[in-house]
Amino acid sequence: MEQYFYLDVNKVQQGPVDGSQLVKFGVTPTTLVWKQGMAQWTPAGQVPELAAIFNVLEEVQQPQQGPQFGPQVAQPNFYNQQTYNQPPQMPPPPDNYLVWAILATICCCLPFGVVSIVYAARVNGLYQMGQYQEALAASNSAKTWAIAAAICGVVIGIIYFFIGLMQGFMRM
Amino acid sequence: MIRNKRWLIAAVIVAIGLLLFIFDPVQTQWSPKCVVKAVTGYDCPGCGFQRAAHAVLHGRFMDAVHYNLFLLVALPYLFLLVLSDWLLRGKAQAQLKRFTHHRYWIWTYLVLFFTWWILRNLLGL
Repeated sequence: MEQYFYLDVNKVQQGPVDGSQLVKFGVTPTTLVWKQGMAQWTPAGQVPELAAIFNVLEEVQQPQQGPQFGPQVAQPNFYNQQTYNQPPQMPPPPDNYLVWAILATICCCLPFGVVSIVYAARVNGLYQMGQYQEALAASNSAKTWAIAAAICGVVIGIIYFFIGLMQGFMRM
Repeated sequence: MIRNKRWLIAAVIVAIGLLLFIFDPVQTQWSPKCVVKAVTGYDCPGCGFQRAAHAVLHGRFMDAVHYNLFLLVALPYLFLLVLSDWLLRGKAQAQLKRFTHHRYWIWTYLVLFFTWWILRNLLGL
C-alpha cells in the first residue's frame, strides 16, 4: 500500500506511513491524510483504499454495532482548510551528487563513479514516491562512492605528479 | 557563503582549464594516467579526456573527437548538471534540474557509457 502522511491530534503532520499501518498510529476515519497525487488533505474514511481497511476492522471488532461511519459521512470542518489543503511540506530532496558521479566516470577511470550514478538515479525516484528515509540512504551511498572515486583520483594524480617530478630531476 | 562557493567552483573550473590549455598531456609526464589502462591494457571510457580537452582548448575539435568520442555526450551533460546543481538558483534551477536529473537521462548515460567502453576496445575507436 502507498505511503500516507497524516495530521495527529495536535494537527501536526506525521509520516509517511504505509497505508496498512495507519491504524496502529491512531488514525481514525476522521483523521486527515494525504499521499502523493492527492489534491488535498482528506479524511481517511473518504479515501477508498483506507476506507476498506476501516470497514474490515469494524466488522471484526464491533459486529454488533451498526456502521459508525461510512465513506459519505459529512466531516465536521475542524480544520482550517486554508492551512491544510496544500500538500504537506516534505523535507527538500536529498542531494544525489550526480555531478561528482559523472565527473568520476570521465576523469577517474574507475567503476566507483558508475555505482554512484546508480544510487543517484534512485534518490529522486524514492523521494517522489514519498520514501524519504530510503532516498536519504541512497543519497548517502551516492556520496560515499563519489568520495571514494575522488580520493582514488587525487591519490593517482599525486603519484603521477611525483613520477613526473622524479623523471624531471633525473633528466637534469 | 553560497556566493563564495559559486566563485570557488568557477575558479577551480577555470584553473583546470588553464592547466589543460598550457600543458599538452601527450608531452607532460605528470599529467595523471589512467589506471585501468595501465593495469589491463584496455582503454577505459574516460581515456583521452585530457588530450581531448587540450585539443578543444586549442581549437582542434576534430582531434578532440578522435581522442574521445564519448565526450560529445558526457561534456554537454556535465555542463548542464553543473549549471543546474551548482550555478543556478531558484526557478530556473528547478526547471533545469527536472530535466537533467530525470531518470531516463541518467540511465541513458549509463547505457551509452558501457556501450562506448565495449565499442572503443572492440573497434579501436
